[in-house]
Amino acid sequence: MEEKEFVERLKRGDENAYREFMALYKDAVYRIIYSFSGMASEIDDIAQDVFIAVFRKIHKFRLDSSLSTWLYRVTINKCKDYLRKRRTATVELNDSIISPRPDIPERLLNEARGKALLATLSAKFRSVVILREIEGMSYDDIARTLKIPLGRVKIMLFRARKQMKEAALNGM
Amino acid sequence: MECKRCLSLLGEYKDGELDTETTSMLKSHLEACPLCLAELRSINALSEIIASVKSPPVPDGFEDNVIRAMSKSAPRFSFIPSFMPVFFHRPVMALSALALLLAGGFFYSRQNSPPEESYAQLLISDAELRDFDGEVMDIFYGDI
Repeated sequence: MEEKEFVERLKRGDENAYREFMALYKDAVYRIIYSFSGMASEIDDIAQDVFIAVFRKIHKFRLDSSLSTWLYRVTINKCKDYLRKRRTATVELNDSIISPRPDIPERLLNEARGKALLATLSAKFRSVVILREIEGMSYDDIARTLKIPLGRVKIMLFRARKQMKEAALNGM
Repeated sequence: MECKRCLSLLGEYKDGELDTETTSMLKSHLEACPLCLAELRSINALSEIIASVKSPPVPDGFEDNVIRAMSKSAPRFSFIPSFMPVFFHRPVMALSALALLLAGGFFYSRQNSPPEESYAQLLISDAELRDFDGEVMDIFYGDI
């Protein structure tokens, strides 16, 4: 279905369109929120807020970007609001990150390290890294989603990687 | 290609964002430079670690919850959407509109007594207006 037609259905308040949209994007929204906040406890509420905000504001959407780009932008803005309210980038750190035990599977250890590394970044840098490394977006798509120039995406990724590498070398 | 240039492009190389010519120059350099190659490996390792962050599964009934929440917290003022494109992007305009409404309401109430309902019930507080405007601005024009 053409995106324009789908957007029209959303604008008409078609409940089936709402459901199709959520089914298509809820996993990505959850991934972004989780990697952004590092907390599992409030993902449901933030994700719900994201979709409600999108549906409420859909009459404003002018198709000058894709619907998914807009959704990702709203998701990141909601994450930033959430962090602002909490005032800290909380991450469930535990001893295993700093002194890994042999009984912890490598996969879980890497995930904990990944969360801790993301938490060392500012919200702006974190947004770019998440869209690139977790969502696999191209630099062009990241620039469109965050409404920043392409050159800035490159610089931010370069600096974020440098910062994460230094954090990793210093044992976070 | 010098190491300095190579190191500045490794991230873009890893992400497949370089043009063919630069990619080929960078590959040649990497074949001859173990230090730059080691740096590329550390970027790849970092990337794998970040990509390993997996979110918990979306709970069953998520869509139902959103639909339910939307119907519960429907906007109280049904006339707002038709006003939004003009007024709600600019706080000064919005406040002026409110002032006009207030003035109009005041004169109307003086000419038609007693009024059937208070205009205060229809108006949005300044605080509510600022919150709403801020949210709209952030979503559409937020500097990320």
